[in-house]
Amino acid sequence: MSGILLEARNLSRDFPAGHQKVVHAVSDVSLQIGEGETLGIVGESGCGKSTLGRMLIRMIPPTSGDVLFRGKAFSEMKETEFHPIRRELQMIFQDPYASLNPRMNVRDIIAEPLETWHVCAGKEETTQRVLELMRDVGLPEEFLYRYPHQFSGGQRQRIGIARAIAADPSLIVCDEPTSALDVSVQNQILNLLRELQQARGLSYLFISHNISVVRHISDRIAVMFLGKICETGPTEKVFSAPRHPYTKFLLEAVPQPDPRKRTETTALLQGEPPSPIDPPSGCRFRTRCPHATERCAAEEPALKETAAGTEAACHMIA
Amino acid sequence: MNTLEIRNLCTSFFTEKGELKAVRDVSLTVGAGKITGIVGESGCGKSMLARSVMGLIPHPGRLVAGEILLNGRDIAKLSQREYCAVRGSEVSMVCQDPMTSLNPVMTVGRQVKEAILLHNDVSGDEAERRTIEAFESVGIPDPDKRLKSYPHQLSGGLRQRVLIAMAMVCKPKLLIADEPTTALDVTVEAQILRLMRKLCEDGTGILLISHNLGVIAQTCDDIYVMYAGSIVEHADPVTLFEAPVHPYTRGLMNAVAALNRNETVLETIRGVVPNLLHLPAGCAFSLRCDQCGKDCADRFPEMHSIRPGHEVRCHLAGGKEGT
Repeated sequence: MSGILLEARNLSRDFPAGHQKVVHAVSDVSLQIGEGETLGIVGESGCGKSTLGRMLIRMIPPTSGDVLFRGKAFSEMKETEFHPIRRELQMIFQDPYASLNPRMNVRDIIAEPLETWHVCAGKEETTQRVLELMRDVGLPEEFLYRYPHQFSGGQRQRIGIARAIAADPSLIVCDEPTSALDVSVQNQILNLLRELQQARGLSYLFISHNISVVRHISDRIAVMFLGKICETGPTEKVFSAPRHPYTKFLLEAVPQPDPRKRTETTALLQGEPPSPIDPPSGCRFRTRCPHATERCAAEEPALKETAAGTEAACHMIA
Repeated sequence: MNTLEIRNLCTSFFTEKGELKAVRDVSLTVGAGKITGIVGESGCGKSMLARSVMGLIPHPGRLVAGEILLNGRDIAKLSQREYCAVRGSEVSMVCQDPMTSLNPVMTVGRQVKEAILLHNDVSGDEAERRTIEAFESVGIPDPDKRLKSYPHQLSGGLRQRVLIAMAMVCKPKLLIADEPTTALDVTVEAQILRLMRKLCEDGTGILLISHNLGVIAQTCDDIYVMYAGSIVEHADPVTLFEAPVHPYTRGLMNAVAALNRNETVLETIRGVVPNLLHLPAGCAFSLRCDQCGKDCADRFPEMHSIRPGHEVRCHLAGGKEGT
């Protein structure tokens, strides 16, 4: 990690859920993303990973806590001051069908960020730049004036990527970018993201529930459970020696594509994730954790360094 | 006798743009108490195959040819009225999305009871007793309380369990599970897959449809790979995962294995799935295949056996050991 690009400090976000109830989507999350680094966020649905991603690029404001981009706090910036930073923070969305305007052609979709930040002088130059971007993401030039419905899911995702890199950002939040795609196409998109990162020195925040995908692309990962990070560290360290009980269950639950390694006897995590409206006291994982003790209900564990060189939030780790 | 035997099934959609062949010449068998898997990417026709067996092909599609033998009886020839007696009692289905498959304004208990009362001549109390039993067997906690819940009060995993309970309550001979875990989290997925394995212990045959090779590898006794409407390879799990022969299967396996081996550049299958309205005259995979020969583009390959229990639809795998 050469320098810290983006830092989140004690970020929390609540949403009103009606009847005076509150959804605690993200609670007290701190993290750092270095220049040219990929931080992977894994977790099950509803654990707050998308909310976290959106807060990091100021798409939604946090309830408390702050985000610092190159050392400057979001909370101290007005919208006008933030405008040039918006250019550096882009997003690739999960659903390639819903995230492209069906009434705009490819040229206009990719040109939109170029026009917003006046990257090119004049229409002619903009179109030339769009063609270059299309080549970078592997879209044939003749598709320039086609509309989203004429493309397959993988090609649409390429359009979304071209749009995200158009204004030359430094961080892209990738929110489940391959979840809607088939395996063979998913690998094409992962290869493309990696090529673009190497060519442009991009940082990624890569959000996914697919553990193999996150493992492949991330330098470091953070495992989230019910709005909190329960374990974080360099990817291979977390995968080779998971310390938090939830991380262990999560890794073991992934169905391995190998019929000789059937997990018919391993212990499964029982029950369902608790509700973020009324999270358990103390450790949020304790209601599903086989090792939970009284201390887990009374006291919330903080992230602590483990012997393996990762950080985990669990009282059971000495 | 096999629970399900499909012979040369063809399902087409007659659209304004022409005939769309969603299922082309599919033959497969599901043994009693076995889980048979169908794996394929989106749009390969695996869901339409499932709906063809259920007699629920949406307009403007219809079954063009073939036989669907359920315990030796051809259900493809049944009228809609006769089909209604079969569906839910002899063959039932669990769909991908547990939210949209349940009626939101009816308690889940009533929905399961409905299935019992429809196919069995029993009293309401008896139906309720059987519902509670069914909920217990699929691992729903507090079944007598859960009966009164509405779908929105249940989590995704519990809803899927309710659907499985509903499908299994009349003890069908065949259960079709169309991507039963795709909408679920991995920890819940693992629970549901283990439940599937338990269900087939008392003789129910399961046809499990999935795009996830991990799910297929973990649960199935026998696997069919589907591409552009037809079966391209059929083998037992170990053979299929360790010695696949069809170039498409090999590409799929490599794509997944590369991700797990964490290679820097991942293997892919070049190009995209062909449009089912304009399929090539020969092999449907020929446009993406690196070994495509002259024969491949012109002639639709037949399914042929390369060793007992291992069949391939590829001109290049003709009888020889194609590893």
